[in-house]
Amino acid sequence: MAECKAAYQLAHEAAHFWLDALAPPSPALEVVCEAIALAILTQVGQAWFASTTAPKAAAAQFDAYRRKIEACAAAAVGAPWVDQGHLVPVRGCDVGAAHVFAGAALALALDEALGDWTALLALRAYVRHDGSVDVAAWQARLDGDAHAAALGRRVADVLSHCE
Amino acid sequence: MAAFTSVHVAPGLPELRAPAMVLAALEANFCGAMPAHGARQLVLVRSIDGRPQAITNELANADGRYIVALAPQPDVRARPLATYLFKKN
Repeated sequence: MAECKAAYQLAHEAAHFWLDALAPPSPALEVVCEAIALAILTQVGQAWFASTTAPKAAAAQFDAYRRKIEACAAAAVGAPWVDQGHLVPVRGCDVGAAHVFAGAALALALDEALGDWTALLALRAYVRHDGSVDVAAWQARLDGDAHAAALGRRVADVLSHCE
Repeated sequence: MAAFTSVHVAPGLPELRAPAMVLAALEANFCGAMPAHGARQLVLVRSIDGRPQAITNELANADGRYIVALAPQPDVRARPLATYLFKKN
């Protein structure tokens, strides 16, 4: 379905844009943007269903498209499925799939973040010139906010598997 | 005020509802915060479809009004549906 593909691709690129469109690609940024794209697919499906003009029968395809992408990534990295406790190192021959797999694990945390991902925007200040992210400094900034700190710990956990 | 004011789809591209929903969802999750670099319009074009990313970036930079978010690349498995241009204010 073209709408699903458009939503997925645009959400990933728009996430880069929201964080820092001019930052060079890096595993950390790719994983965060992939997580955002996957979580957005589910939300677009919900918005599609709520729309008065979009055909409701197609709404479920967005979440199905997300599950298909996640399943393909899990298969590519040799993992049984995506869950928050199962991470694999982001390295090896299919780096793209590993980014998607790690992003999928992080997307589960974004699903639970109650629509507030503003903590991720604070990453802007901690993106280095090579695109890598000073996660420890970012987490230190989030410490005063329990909700943001919880998301920060999850991001740090996932990104610790990225190279 | 919402961060994005409009989504333009160039002639020749299919009418897609999803891009506007994607931007609305991002705005909602980011609590209306502006994206870095401040652009507030998205333009989907096909006119530079098929050109490598470097050439597309060069064209956009020469124009000066856009930041390229995604352009077709020769070796990707899932080819982009369109070139996404974020228009500077």
